[in-house]
Amino acid sequence: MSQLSATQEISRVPEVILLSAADSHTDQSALLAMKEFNLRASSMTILHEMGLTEGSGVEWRVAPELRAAAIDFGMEQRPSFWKSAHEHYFRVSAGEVRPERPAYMNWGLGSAYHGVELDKAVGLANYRSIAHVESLALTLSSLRLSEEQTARGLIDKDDPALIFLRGMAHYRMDDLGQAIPLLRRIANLDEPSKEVAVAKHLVGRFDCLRSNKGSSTKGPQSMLRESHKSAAKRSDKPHLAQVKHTMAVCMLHTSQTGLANPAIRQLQQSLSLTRELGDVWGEAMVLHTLGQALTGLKGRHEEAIEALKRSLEIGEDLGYMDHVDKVQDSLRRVSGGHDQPRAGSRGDALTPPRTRSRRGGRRKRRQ
Amino acid sequence: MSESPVLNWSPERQRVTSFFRSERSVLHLLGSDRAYVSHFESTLGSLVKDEFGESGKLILLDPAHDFTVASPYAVMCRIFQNLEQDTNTRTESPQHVSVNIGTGNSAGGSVDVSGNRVIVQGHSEREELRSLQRAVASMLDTGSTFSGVVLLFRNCHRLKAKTRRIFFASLWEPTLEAMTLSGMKVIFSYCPHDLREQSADQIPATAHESITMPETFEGASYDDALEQLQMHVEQVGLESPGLGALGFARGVLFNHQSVRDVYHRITLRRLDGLI
Repeated sequence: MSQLSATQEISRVPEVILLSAADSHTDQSALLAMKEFNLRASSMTILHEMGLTEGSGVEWRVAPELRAAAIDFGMEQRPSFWKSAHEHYFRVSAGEVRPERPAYMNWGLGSAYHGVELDKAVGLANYRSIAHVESLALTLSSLRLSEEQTARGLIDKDDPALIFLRGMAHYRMDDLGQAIPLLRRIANLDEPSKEVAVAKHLVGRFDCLRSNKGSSTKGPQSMLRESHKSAAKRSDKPHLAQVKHTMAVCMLHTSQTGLANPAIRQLQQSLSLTRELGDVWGEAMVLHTLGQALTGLKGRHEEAIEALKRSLEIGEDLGYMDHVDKVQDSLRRVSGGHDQPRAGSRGDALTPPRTRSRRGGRRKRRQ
Repeated sequence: MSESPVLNWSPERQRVTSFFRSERSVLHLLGSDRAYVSHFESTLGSLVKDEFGESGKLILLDPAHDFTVASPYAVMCRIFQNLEQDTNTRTESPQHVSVNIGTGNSAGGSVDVSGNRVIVQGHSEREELRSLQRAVASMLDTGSTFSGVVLLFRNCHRLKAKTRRIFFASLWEPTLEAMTLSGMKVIFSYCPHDLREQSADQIPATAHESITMPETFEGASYDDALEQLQMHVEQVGLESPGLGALGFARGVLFNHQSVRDVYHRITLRRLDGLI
């Protein structure tokens, strides 16, 4: 029988297994777990002192090599204890937000990560939900955790939830070359989910804007219509607002005469929705596109300026100076009375809001 | 809490202090095993305080922690959260948003975590990042210095090439490099076989200085390590009956030469002692 390494021996200590079941801890969350299982809190101090934890700020985790060994041992040799540990962390994750919890639990990742350990379907559903949150940091963290669980064979790397998550991670990193093929796989799924609708939206927009001016955008427009239909069916107003904006941008991109008015109608509907939702940043972007779209229409010059000025005002209010620069540029061109911009010709009009999740809450206007 | 024992790294600690006193601003900290670097890093906080006094500030950033480094925006938030204690620069208060996860399973509520913040709706992460970067530029324009601020990017070997490129283009070039010219020090730690001298993607492109952690307690470092290990054994009460602290320390160093094995053996002994 081969002798265990010191690392292996440490990994079998119950406290180490318990702490390793969580992705990270604060001292308080670790103490809570120790108390729950009637284990020795001082072991945590020893691990800290001996450099067997890694941390930044108030959070830390068991050192990777030791944690990997503890996970292996816990899963294989102490399945009951392992499950109980995850049940505890899942409960803590699902509870009311507390500052003493590690960030991954507060931000919803705990329910995904520990959910997978207990019930794959529950965990994957939570990973799906998190993928909609417009935060690169959160998306990448979800990806890291899901990849760790994929490597352990708990979830299939080709599960649609993970493909969508990977697609959104690349998308938020502006790596469209990687993102679009992944999202296209989701867009082609025959299911009425939000993920499919979001994927259709992003792929439709990409295909539309990539097409040459004047060429047919029938395929992308059809995809956007399907996304719109799904959003309407699910009464998903935030998604509806975004896809209407994109549909308008796509119409304007084709440069076909006769599409300006339908595009403006879509933009006005999108604008109403962003206002209803209290999404001022979305409102600013729609107004910018609307201002540019109106600029090209006879007799609507004042309306165009009004939309652009309001967009500018919101950008300044938010402190979003890149947006302000773009709108000022548009205003200069409109006010100059020549070389008027074509709708969707530049700036964030062509990059309407990504699939931001607006579940719950509204962003407060900054004072 | 007793101090983490740093057994034989006096020369390396002196080199860090010299680095703090020098004009150089970028240090690479290398260890063939992550554990060596980790032990050493645990002492950097006290080195910063020793050198810069109470104004000294060590800001830890880890690609696998607190969502930092993974996102340039998260890194800037982290830096600001630490800086704002010493400056008049104000950052936005955390937004309160709801993150409801899954059906019938509320894993969210308000997101307000120890100063971390994530805004999940109605915002542009890119614009928010630019706002923070403009705030730094403004501080630099008005003559603020970042002397005493030390950024420690840990576990850089875990960053994928794509993330490193994002870091370099979105953070290093536009902001952090300028901060180093105003006194900030940056330490990147990693296992060398992963990224050093690999490509232009490395972080940063050029290190002004590098320190490689020793792997064993051999040669001249032995006596130093023995003395410090003996002190640690006395401090935590691990003396062997009949042998005392010195005997125990000698035994450990006789049986285990690598830094990692020594630390792990002491850990195990201390954990056993709890029973």
